[in-house]
Amino acid sequence: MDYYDLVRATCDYEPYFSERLGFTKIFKAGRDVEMAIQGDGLRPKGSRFIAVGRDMGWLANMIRGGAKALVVERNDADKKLLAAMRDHGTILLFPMSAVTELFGLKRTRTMYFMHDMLKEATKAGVRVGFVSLAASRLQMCSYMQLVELAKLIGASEDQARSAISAINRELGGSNDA
Amino acid sequence: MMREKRRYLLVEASTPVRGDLDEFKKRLYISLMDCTGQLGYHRINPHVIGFISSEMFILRASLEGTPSVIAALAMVKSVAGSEVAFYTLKSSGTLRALRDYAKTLGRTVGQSTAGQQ
Repeated sequence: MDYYDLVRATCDYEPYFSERLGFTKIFKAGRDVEMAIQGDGLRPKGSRFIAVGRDMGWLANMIRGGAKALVVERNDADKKLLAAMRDHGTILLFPMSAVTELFGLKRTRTMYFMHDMLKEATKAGVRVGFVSLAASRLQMCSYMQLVELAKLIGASEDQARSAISAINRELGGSNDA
Repeated sequence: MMREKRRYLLVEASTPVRGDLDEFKKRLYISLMDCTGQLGYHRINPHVIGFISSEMFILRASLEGTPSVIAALAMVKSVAGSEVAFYTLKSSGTLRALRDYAKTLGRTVGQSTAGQQ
């Protein structure tokens, strides 16, 4: 099975590193896929972009604007948003760097909210993806770690593996290896 | 007495490990305990078997605790006050398989530390 990851534009790593971590390819925001971040005020130019935000109305607008995937920053996607995602085939991405970067109660709280959102998304029939969304090399993790972190927030082994493998279809297009 | 089933993990650190290796191991165990808790730590029973290079080492864990130790390694971001990340590259039931895999990564197998078979 091929595995894929997504990192932020600020994340720098050596070219051999993606293979070493067990990924077929690591998508980088700004290079491989556009990222629209709430509050930046920039409109994505291409048709393939990811929206990162916390406001449900803004995220719903992004879905209608053709966002391929969403990152809900506060992990509190409501049912209306999940229904819109299901109807448009938008992927709900879980950024695992949010779990690994925090410590103590903040980490457990984030994991609790992610667990809850994953349960709701699965129930609503929304496709999910697990990515590191690392901002630096220190936040990156291997595919094995990504699978285990996904299991920590409630995904099954099969769901975790297939979700990490499936983001290539939406983010990479058919011509990417 | 039944022998504990074990799993070996090939781990790479983001920065080379410098200084006293025993001290590093002790600090790593403390960091792992921070993430897994005392009960979790008892279950995973981690042990650094040896260093393959200054950045790469082999960690042994109990079979049932392997998923926890893989996740915990992703959460450890500092050891002894210095920033570091750990990447689990491969897991195996035998040391030989990991050493062979490490060789394919272009690393030379060096001298290992205490606890080696």
